Amino acid sequence: MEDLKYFEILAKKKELSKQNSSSPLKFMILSNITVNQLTDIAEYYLLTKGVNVVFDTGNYDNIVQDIQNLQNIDGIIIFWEAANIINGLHYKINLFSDKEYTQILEKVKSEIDLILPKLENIPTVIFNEFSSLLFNSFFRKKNKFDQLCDDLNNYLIEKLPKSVVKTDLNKIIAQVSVEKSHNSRDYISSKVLYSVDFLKAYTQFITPVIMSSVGKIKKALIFDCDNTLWKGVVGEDGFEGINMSENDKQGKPFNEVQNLATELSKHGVIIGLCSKNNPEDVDNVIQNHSDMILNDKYITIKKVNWKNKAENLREIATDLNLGIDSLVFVDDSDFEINLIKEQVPEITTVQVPKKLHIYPAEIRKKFSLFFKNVITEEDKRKTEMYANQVKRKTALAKAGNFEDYLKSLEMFVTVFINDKTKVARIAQMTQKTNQFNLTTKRYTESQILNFVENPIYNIFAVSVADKFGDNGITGLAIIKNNNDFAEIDTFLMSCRIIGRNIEFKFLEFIIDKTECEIIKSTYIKTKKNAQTENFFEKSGFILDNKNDDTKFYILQKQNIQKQSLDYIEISYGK
Amino acid sequence: MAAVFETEISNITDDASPDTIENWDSLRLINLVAALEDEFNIEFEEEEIVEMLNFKLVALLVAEKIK
Repeated sequence: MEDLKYFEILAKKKELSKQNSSSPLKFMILSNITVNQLTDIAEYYLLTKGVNVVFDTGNYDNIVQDIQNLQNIDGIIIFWEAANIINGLHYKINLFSDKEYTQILEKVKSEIDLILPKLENIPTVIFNEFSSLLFNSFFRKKNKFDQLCDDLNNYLIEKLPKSVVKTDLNKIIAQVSVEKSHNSRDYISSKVLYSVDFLKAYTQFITPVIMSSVGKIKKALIFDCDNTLWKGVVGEDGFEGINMSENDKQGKPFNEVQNLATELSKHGVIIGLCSKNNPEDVDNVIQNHSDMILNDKYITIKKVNWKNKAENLREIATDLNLGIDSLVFVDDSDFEINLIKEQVPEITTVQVPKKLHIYPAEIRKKFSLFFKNVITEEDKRKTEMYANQVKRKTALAKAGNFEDYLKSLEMFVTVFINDKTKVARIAQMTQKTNQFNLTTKRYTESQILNFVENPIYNIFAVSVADKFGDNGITGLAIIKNNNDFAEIDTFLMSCRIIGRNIEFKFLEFIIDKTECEIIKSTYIKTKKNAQTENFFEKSGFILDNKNDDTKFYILQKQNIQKQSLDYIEISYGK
Repeated sequence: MAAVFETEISNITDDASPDTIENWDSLRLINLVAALEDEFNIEFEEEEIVEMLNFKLVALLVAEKIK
């Protein structure tokens, strides 16, 4: 986008919005400056990522009032510019007495207090931190304007709910430069503080937040080995001939990349290998090479063989129950990168640059693809849980008969009902689960908390364990109890536990616990949930009505078709 | 220019102005200036922006700059 001129962005946006027929998310930009150019730029850029968002701007310098009036909004962006808290504050403040300084600080703090309760109910809130950089970069000493921004930012740290995503504008200004970020001519005439260049960079900086809120994030980072994780070719140069030492200029970039991959793994990104090599050579390096950082603890899946890499990557997606478009693949070879681009264009590819010193930066740039607004306990344990899944698949290959295999897993399902401690994970599941999700309704933490506290709703969260390990909270049902019937508002399972009949056991369980005799449910079709299309039919629900994308079902409680799933134990947790 | 004001190209006549084009307001004029500066790698003075009263005047100002 950096290379596109503003006219081109407008023209291309028009084209893209014709092609994208999905119903748009509604975002509002609230500001005390003029940022209306951001709407076109951000709408265009998100459309290129397949996300349809319509941005509206609030009234000029009306942040507090505008927030009070918001309804049915998917997200807001807040540009609260310190320089324009009052006209010309960035230079006037340095003449202020201490008393005047305190007055202005307290005024803004009290305004922040006014908007806080509202922020919790908005699914996505992007709040720009206060910045003095555009005006103060030439001053060696901190002045009162810097101090005000620091004080306000500390207040934000103290007060903002953790669902609010703070954005450090200084990082964006650093990318663009102070001079090119600041539109001084239009700021004086019309309060347009930022240049188009800044707004382009800003859009790119906040895009991961919006992608995360719609569940469009990458989940796995797959590396080739030779000249990707280490310098050299293990099959030719041998164990001693490859290099990934932090004390050697050849090896250092690879050492850094391995550290970066390990860091991602610790945040729940799945790390895998896809390499043409003898598996024992690669295993020997991973287990025994003293410079190897990215060890087996962090690597979930390995496809080390002589097969076509497109095929291997497809298998990786299948083995992990991930969409193919959630993979990022790193390789040094033109041939392999082009093969993947051609055969599996859904996969994002990264080619190891010829200038090795920029390789770590190329990987750092990709971190935003994996960005998650909130990281839960389950995320931190994800590597381990996915590794167990790969073991299960291997066990399946050995067991042969699928039923026998499921019995051998010794599955145990624990159900938590209306459990406040699970709210963050529950909200996250509604936001991220795409494949096994019957209605794909997205909820925020505060919405889930409301459900938990509202007696009309019952929230069932399940945690699944088996002899290979505990998967954590991986399934959810939200039941709304109306007067004469109960309604399944949400029913979803994380992709790493589906295909084991737990979904049927769970559905039987919640229907059993429902007091109403009539249960209604819906299936809402999306691009990703085709596998659940006939889920309710299989359990005995009767199709009551349907339109293009939605099927409505009804069930008399006693007519549920139970499957013989005695090998799954299920009970309430404490 | 039609793209900035979200109107049809046929509406952009020499006489096109805030009076004939619904979306031609002061904010969109700033967008137009940003787009023109970006497109032709030029820079306008504040006084020149004030003179952009209709399409013909905008075109003349741009022509002047890129000569």
